[in-house]
Amino acid sequence: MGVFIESVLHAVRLIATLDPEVLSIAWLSLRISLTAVVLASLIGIPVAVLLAQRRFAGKRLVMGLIHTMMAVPPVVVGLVVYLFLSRDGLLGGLDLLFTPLAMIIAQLLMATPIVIGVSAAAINAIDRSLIDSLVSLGADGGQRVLYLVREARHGLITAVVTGFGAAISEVGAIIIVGGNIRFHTRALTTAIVLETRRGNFELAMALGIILIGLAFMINMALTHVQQSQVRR
Amino acid sequence: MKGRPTHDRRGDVIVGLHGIGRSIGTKRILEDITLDIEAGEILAIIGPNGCGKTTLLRIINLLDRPSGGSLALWGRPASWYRDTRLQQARLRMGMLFQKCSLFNASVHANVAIGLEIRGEQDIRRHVQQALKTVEMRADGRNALTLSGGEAQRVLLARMIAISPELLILDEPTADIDPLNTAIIEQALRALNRGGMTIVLATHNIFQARRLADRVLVMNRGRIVEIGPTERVFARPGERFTKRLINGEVI
Repeated sequence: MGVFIESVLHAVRLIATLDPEVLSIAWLSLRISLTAVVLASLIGIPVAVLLAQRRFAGKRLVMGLIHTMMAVPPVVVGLVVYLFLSRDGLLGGLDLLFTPLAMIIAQLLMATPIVIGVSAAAINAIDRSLIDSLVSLGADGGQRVLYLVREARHGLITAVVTGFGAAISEVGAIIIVGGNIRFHTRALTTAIVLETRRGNFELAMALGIILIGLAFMINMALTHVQQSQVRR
Repeated sequence: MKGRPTHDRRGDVIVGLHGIGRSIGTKRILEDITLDIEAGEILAIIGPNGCGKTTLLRIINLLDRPSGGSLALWGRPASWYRDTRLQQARLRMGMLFQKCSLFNASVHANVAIGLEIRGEQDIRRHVQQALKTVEMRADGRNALTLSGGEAQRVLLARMIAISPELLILDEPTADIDPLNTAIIEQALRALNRGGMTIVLATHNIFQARRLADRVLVMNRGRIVEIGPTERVFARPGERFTKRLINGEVI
């Protein structure tokens, strides 16, 4: 219990004194996770709408693959991205390995299947009578998608929240492709691993508390949007 | 703005069905339905549950395709209505489904949907007028919190707002109380007086008698008989109709 209280006090001290290293780490974490989840949403939600609306051969297989991707261990994603970005890899020429962009790519690959899977479930849950109603009212394809997305908005925000949660809490992939380089690719999760290995439990726990605080603030903002029930 | 519809000339045939059938797998839902619907009339379709009323309405609304026979709307065969023409035809109709199709949004937003789709101007005024017809107002409540009767009135207001030439209603007052039923029936009469053609499926034979100019009796996917309401109720031409009127068929 003593370590915990010490850690909380340490976290408060680090935040209050605007410790430059902690700020750099926290900002990187936020930047890569938010970028990854925004991109995952921009890709994932339209794909989910298509998957939920269209009938095509192999749809079950595609959904099965997406559900499998939702459960792929981050270290495996990290390894695959590493192999692609390493000097001899397919994208080695881009020189992205051990950069924040590589970390975004890794998190994007993890968050996208989550956003697709949860969003598709939310859209599939819309009652068939609402879709019939839109068709009957003469809505064209674009209008139907717009109203369905609006109707599934709570589920879609849950998808974004879940994707963000997976991204910001992830460590296995970004430590492989980012390298945990001080002031460059050191994120909160990778810093926690490092400080724990060094035996700096107070600092590790303090970073953990900052991580939870940031996740809480982002999730509260998304929950606020989600709970705005009535539109005019 | 795509323009508000003008109603058809009373007596013109706006829907023509000839030998319509519909099967799902080996199951026959509708068989040999031949029927003309005239502009300005209220046609009630009555019959027991599962007799094919809903399927017939969905075919008229171009939501389902018949397996056989021919359908014409406003003098054009159903095959003519493709892509934008299909959408244009749907813009001339409105269908109130048996299952409550309210969105998780305010009463105003729910009524406004059809107007938004049609690109109408002055949506607020149309919504307020439509709600007034069903004795409701846009009070900011989420439509999902409404009672069954209020929900059905909001759905009818959605239809009133778009003022379709042909209004199709599938059991509009099933499971709602007499007061809400009376409000809905009153609104339907007013719409019909304004020239709107109404096709109404109901298993409430008293409602059919109160509202309809003509009654179509269905059983097991087939037409049993069709005729003016007073004649069908006073002198049913078929034994099944008589049993249905006497409450012997549910």
